[in-house]
Amino acid sequence: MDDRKLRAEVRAFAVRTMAALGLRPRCDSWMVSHSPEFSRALAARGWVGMTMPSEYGGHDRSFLERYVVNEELLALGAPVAAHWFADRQVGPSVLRHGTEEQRRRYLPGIAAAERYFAIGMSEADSGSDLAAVRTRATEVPGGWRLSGAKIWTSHAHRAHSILVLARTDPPAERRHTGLSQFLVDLDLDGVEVRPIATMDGEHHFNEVVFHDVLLGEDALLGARGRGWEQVTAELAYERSGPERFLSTMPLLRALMREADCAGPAVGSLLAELRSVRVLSYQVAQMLDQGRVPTVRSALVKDLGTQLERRVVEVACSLAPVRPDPHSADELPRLLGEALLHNPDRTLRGGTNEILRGIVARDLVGSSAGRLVP
Amino acid sequence: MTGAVRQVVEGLLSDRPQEVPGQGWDEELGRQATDALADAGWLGVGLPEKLGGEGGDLADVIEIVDAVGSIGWPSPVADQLLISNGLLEHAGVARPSRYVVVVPALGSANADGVTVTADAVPWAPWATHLVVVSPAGERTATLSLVEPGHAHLRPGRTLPGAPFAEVRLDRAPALSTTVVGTAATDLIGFVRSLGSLSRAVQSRSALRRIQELTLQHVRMREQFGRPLSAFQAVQQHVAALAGEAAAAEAAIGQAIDGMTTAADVVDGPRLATARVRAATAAREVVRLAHQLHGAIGITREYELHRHTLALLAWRAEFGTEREHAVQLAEAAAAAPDLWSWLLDES
Repeated sequence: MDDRKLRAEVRAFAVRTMAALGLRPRCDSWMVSHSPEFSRALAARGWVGMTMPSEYGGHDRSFLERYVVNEELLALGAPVAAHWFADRQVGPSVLRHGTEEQRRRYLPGIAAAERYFAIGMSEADSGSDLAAVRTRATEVPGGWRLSGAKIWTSHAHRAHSILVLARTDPPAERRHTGLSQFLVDLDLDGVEVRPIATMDGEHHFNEVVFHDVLLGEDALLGARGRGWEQVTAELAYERSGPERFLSTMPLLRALMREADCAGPAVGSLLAELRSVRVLSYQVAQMLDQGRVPTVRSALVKDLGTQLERRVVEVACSLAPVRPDPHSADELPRLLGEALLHNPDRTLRGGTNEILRGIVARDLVGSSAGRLVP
Repeated sequence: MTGAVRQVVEGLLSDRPQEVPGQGWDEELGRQATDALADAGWLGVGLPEKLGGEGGDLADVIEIVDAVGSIGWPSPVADQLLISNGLLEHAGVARPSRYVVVVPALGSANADGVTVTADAVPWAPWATHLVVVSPAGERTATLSLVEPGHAHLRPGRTLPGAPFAEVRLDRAPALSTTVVGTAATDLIGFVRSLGSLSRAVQSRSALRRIQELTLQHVRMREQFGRPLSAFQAVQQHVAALAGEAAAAEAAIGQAIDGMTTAADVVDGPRLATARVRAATAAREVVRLAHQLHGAIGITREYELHRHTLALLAWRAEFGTEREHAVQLAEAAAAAPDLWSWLLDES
């Protein structure tokens, strides 16, 4: 694949636009670096909603081209958090499961980076155990009444909408049944967004509380009771991208520029980077073939997030600086920022233990039987 | 997906046990099995017919290496196909006999004969011909074929029992000498890359077989009334093993991607990546596979050790993990930009 031209265009655009907006490269930029201006400029170049059909404002590009664009943005630590979640998983979900009306309502805004989404999966009492969600959507005349609370919703305070997993029906023989997904606008009456500060002192997390929020019939995404299957596919998108191994690339680039890196520790990281990159690209190829790489993306995310963490550890041992997120100098700042996010690399988007469970159960097949804790 | 080549080779080998029950691999039985492959022409695969080979490309070669590797006994087949045939093809020298062993150290050749010393040359005790690379002009080398009877061999065995030897030639007569248009030091580098390629491809076969054996075991073996695979602690290990194996598979895949013959091998970041990642995977996969197998895995009777010991031994052959890692780090540090280097743009 000759993607050099596309890579060069994205690189030049990102460097120029970040400079114009006064935004610095950051590790974990897809989580922490939120710039509507940057996102809209990116969208104007056709690099948001790339794989969506043009009739919905997308650009009919392949998942491989999208992969290339996102790799370049992440490697530069570009501020992509504003549109990231909508582009990555809500767009594909609405395209796959949405009604024609829902597609027309949401997709053009996502592709233009005008409509941002938060993801409403986890709850206070159900983190990894998503099937235990207690947020409830009750059918009422003309639509639904939503009550409950979602937690760890990144950038909900800056988003326009949230995709919510809620229980609509009691669980049958399988506890994964009876769940459904809803597209909820955050400016509706009864929606409350409460900030949660993270240990770095920043605010991207929120708790989103639904106080008997009334939704129209058209808020239901996909089929009633099929929420688990839909959310599983959504998680494949959530887990599949290069942000699962490139979050610390800005730090590694700075380290290579400023420290003596010609030793085996960095060599080992580089071998891992090259290897995981091949695997991550293969996942994009699967998406491109219309497959939903649930298991493979879990495996690659497990490897990739461990690699991200190792980058930070090696940087700590080689960088001749003290980590300082407030430093004006690049290396100490990136090191400080990356260290403060090291614990969540292997939590966000599904803990590595959960991911390994998905991989193992697929490998050993159904003969695994029921889980023993 | 088992290719036709692989089926035939596996069939040939399965008819010829290489083990004396209770005593492990028997070198003489191993030689008989390998002779049978040689008699059927399988050691000439990958080498053009005009050089005494059987034709075929790298994919065919890898099928043979995989077939031999899935059985797991020590075998010179990978080195014959990837190192010897690779060098013979590059030099345009016809395959002279059954077991052609390349000495991976710089020799000297003149009117007095061929002189070289090399430490731990894999499979040298089996050699029917030795190949020695010596400087000729500034940009040329000579390739000398020497009868092994002229060599002083100090034999040894690797951890899984594969024979090797220190090889010393002191003004030994050359049977034939060919001038090659490559500087001798580059040609020795090429031989080492072929060796590195051979170990990478062998490692991939072993990792695949270890994963297969481990999955079978955790499915079948029951403890506390359930298969091992039902335990979360076991599942975590299984997934970690699969992740390591997948990463090594990807690393080795990108190293051979685009090659049509062993002689296409290039000493660069892709090959170094394959070796570093295979070595890391070897460490983790061997640990996890043995842990999951329990005591049966360390018995001579059970197959696992054939693959795990080989994997561990191969890490140190044709460059150590550390050497390959440093090679990568130095190349990246010398590049203007890390990201461009990772993408092989520069």
